[in-house]
Amino acid sequence: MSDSASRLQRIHEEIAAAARIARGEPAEVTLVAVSKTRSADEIEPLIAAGQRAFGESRVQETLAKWPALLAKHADIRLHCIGRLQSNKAGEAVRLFDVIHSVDRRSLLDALAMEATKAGRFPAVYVQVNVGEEEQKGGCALAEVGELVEAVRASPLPLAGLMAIPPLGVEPAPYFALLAKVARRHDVTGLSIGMSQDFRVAVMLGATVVRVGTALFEE
Amino acid sequence: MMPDALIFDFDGVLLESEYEGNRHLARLLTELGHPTTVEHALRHFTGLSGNDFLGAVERHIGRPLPEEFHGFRKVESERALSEGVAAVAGAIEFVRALAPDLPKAVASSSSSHWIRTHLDHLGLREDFGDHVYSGSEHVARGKPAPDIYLHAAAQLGVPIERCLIIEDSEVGATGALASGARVIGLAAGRHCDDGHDQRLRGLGVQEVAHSFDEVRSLLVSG
Repeated sequence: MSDSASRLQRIHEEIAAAARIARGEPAEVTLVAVSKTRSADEIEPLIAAGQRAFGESRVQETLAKWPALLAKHADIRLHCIGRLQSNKAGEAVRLFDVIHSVDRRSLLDALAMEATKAGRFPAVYVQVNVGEEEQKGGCALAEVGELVEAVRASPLPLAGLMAIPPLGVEPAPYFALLAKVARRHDVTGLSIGMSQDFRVAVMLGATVVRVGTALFEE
Repeated sequence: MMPDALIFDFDGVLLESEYEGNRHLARLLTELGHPTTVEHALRHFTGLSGNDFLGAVERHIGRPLPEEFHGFRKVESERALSEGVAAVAGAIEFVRALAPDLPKAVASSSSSHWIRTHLDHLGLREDFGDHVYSGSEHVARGKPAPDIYLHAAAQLGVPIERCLIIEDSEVGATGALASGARVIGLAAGRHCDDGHDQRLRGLGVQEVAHSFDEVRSLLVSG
């Protein structure tokens, strides 16, 4: 087994243990392998080990790297986890199966229009600026309801809410807050948790975790 | 005889947090490599706090607690605050059926943030208004000292001997008896095993109820 494959297995075990601690039962958690900046050579052992969900943040990098890999493995699902500009919406709907970073109405409208043109409808997460930080992607907490309803009224399926908590502080209160906001709006999907805190995220109800460093590095 | 005021302990009386907390503790210790049943946790760790609690858990596992134990406990507290915890059977109906003008308070060892958040989840926040008192915030000596009950009674404006305290734990009942109030020991929560009522009686609690229906009967007949 390759190193990254054994790390993949260990992360799956840690996700399962976190779910058992929190709820006493397994949870359905999708592990998105964050493959941005990683080469095809680094990615292929994970595909061989059964990993099928990968996260990228840049359209150009995804276009350069993935068509060859997708040609060999048609069942891979690509997740867009980075900030997205509206002028990249056309490429984004053609490349990605899931978009985690819808944080404003103008981006949603651009994606919906391009999706209709392309006949491809990626599921979207509404990204929430859960720490109310300046300079950070995500809509304000007060705007979540409006944006969620706009997604529901659009042709794009609503996958859930996504957030990145502030750096350097305990993430748990932010994850718990996002989970509460999700319940308030009757949303079930929660894309929270990265390499440092995915176990905490699973305990607080993550349905998707986005793990890069812990998967690709020793 | 109806008392002039009711003072409720919180965890284990209105909220199933004693059971849920021990169930989580048992699962956490099990995942950390020390298989533990919820029954064992309930029997050995209920009612302990601070270093007494940590010491008892460390004796059980035979080694110092790993760092992640503390982190996961904090996460569980966040989860419980966010998602809420079930009410003790009959608790919500009991409180709602009380006369609105009957003075009532919560007197607990938990933080007022914990109490108020869970009262919100239970839909009972307005029933208690501002009368939420924490043994770690409102008085110098927490339970088993009687101070938090005396403080609650003073705030309600009712002499303690005309108050009724509903308590489930031995630590809490000890303080409740010392306060001079009438005390009903409640063994209704899922954390209460067969011997729970006898342990409360052993402390000197004369009235013990196994459900809120029994509390109601004691109030009518007592």
